Amino acid sequence: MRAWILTIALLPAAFAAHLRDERIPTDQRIAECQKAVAAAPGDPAALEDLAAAYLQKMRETTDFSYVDRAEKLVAQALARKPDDLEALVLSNQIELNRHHFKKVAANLRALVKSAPGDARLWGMLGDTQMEIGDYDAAADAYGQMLRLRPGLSSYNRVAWYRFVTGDVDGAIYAMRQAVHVAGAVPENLAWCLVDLGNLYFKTGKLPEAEANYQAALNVFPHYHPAFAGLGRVQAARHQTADAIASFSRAQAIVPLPDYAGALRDLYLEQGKTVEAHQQEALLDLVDRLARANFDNTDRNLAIVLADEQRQLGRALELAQNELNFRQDVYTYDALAWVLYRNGRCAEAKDAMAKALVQHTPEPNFIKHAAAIGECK
Amino acid sequence: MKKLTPYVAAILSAFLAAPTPMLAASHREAPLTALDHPADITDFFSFVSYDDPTKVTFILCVDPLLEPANGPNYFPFDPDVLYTIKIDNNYDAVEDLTFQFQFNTNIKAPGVFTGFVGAGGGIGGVIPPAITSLSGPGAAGLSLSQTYTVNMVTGSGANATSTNLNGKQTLYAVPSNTGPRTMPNYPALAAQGIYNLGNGISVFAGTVDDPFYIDLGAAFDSLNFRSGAYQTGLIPMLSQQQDAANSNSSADTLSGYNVNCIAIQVPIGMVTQPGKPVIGSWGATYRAAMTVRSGAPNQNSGDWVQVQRMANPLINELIIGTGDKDNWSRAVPSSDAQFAAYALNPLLATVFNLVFGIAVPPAPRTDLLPLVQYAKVFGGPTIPAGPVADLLRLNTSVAPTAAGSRSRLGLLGGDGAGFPNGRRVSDDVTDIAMRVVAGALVGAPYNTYRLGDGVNTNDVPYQETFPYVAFANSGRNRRHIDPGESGCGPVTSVFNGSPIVGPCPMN
Repeated sequence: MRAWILTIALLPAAFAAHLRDERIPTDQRIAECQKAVAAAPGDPAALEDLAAAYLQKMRETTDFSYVDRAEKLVAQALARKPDDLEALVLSNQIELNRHHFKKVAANLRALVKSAPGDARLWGMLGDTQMEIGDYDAAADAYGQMLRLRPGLSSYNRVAWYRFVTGDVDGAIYAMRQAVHVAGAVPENLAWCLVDLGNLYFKTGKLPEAEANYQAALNVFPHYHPAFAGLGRVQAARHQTADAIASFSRAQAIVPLPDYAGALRDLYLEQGKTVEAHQQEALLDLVDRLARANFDNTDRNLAIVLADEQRQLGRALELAQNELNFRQDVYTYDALAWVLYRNGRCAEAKDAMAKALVQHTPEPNFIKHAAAIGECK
Repeated sequence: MKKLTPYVAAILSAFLAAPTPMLAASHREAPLTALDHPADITDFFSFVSYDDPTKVTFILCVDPLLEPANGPNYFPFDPDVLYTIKIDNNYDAVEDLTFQFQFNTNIKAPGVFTGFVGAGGGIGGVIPPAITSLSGPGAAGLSLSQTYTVNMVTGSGANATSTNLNGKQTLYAVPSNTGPRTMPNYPALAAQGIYNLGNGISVFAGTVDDPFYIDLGAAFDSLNFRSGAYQTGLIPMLSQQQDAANSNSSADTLSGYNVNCIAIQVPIGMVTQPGKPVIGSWGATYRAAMTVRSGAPNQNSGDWVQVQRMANPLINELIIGTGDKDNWSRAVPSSDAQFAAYALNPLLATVFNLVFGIAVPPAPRTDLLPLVQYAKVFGGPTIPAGPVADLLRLNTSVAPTAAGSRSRLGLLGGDGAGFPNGRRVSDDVTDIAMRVVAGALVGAPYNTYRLGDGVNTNDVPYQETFPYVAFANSGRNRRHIDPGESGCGPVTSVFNGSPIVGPCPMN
């Protein structure tokens, strides 16, 4: 509403807290927030605005160093004002990025009691409950968010909940609504377009998936999940060279394990073993870096290693540790797949049963369940 | 390592320097605070019509900062949003009358790359003739067009009854102004979007020039307003001459931008009750209800969820606390007592005091209550105060002020037909709000501060007849007036006429 303009007009930038102008590019927003912090050092609102801009930048780049920068700012803000709601919201966003789901859930359950009218809190609470597998509670939290603020953020979450609990058509309907609202930040719309593309891809509708991935790139160029989505569509169509090009573009932006795994398989399909081994080497290097950072939790890497049937002991360690942080169907699926590759059939079947409890129409679940079902 | 491609090596070396594990399995972090532009209310106006004092005009504007050149589809209204204007006429802050607007988008030629195309009498059977009409002959180039329905709902809740006001007419929303080749006579085209619905009701919906004006760039720069702060250091205080001028001494940041507005003009007798000339009104936008769990209705359930509301132009972000903003947006005005504490001790007043060294009245700020209650300022000593509620209150018995005598400062400027007695498109709510928060309603010394941003009027003239806002800026010829350019001084040109030539200061 116009009030945001008025407020900014009436407040010095350092005091224009919580009026994060989503319309301007994130780098420009960061620069303006940095100026505000310099003009009013220690002002909680200015610190929070800059921290929020850093977190948006992290969303756009997957560069977690922005989380560290945001954390320092939020710590300063909380030192000045321990009960500052904005700082607490940001603090929990940061904790979410560190996968401290149970802690965040507890924090948010307390926060929604003091600020029940804040849609963001309910959204984050639902997110944490999805991660820890408490789907009923997540539905309630998302319902509160929807009641307070129908729009891109809440429709997107409804879509995700519906997909995970087995309702593909309902998920696509809600995600289309999220796309329709569009929002002000290109990356946010691109996120929803990729999500919509993923829903179509997982239900075999490749043209629709491709169109949405392409639309995401039109909205937010260099969006790595969109390149990866295109790569999946091309791989499904056996357009291997195109798929390699797309995944390579995604990897050049952020070298996620999934991308390395996909590229390795595609190179093998082309008979390019040297390139395939380079991708394996990249994965191993990534894992060594993670170990050096005492990070032994990664269900995505665990699945890729299990797919490649390499380092299966390490894969099991990564998946089992992940279960300490979150107990959702995706973690159980990863654990089931790794256990299966380790030849532990009975445990794999138990884990797979937990992965399937919500009837999630995830293609990998179906593939893994079929293989594990034959395991003796 | 030596086998890795250079870019991967570079990426990894960057990761080595970072303290946080970077490639851990991510969790799903959907956007949390995305704005809803089509439902985003920018301004709400309510005033006795300048050219017909027997009627009142309401204008609801949504979807801010529309760049006129930003095709190909420009900025249609959202068919999934229900736009409403609500009126309370018995002082209880509950709507007694609601005007509802819903849009429908029609695309005639999905294969055409742009929503609007045309030139001359048509070219080669491919390019249609220039667009001269909203429908029928002359509208062949409107590949994208929007129609809409207007319903009048009397009463509220279970007792509400709805009447369609369209009659047999098809109402077309006015498209954005692409430029002179495609739309050679845009004012005439836009004027076709003014419909007489009978019973004295007129309606208009479409893209128009944004009627709001402000030096936003200076505001972002820590309130570094050019016309006063530069000379005096910190306080954005206008000189006496600047304050009195009906012209701009700073650039209007919103110059050249468009916005989508819905305007409706109705006889005063239709919206008031006998002996009760004061009304309270507000705009609200809604989206269809949706349930989270599967199996529940996804669409067409008939239920709507309020996305946003607006009456006075500064209540939510300026007054309402962070944890209550969403709650406030979805609440009805009659429940606003829950937010009263925010109004009685506004943060901004504290800011003025701390940063600018301006003395402000102490809390509780009961002087601000007339903005959120019916009071004698609006209707005389016998009018009941009613509940605390954010309504744009308007005494319809106050005659409109003639164009030459209007004060941009409304009531503060001695003009009883201006804000906060309703709000006209020309009222300078930025300066008014600053002064009211600084204590202008209390009296001396607080009413001596000439706080202002130096933008005293819109970059293009408003219209003196319905729909009162200026029609949309041309995409081809749009111009945003920046500091250091010409475009300040008296706003006397018509929007497609001579440019404003006065310099806009950098400082």
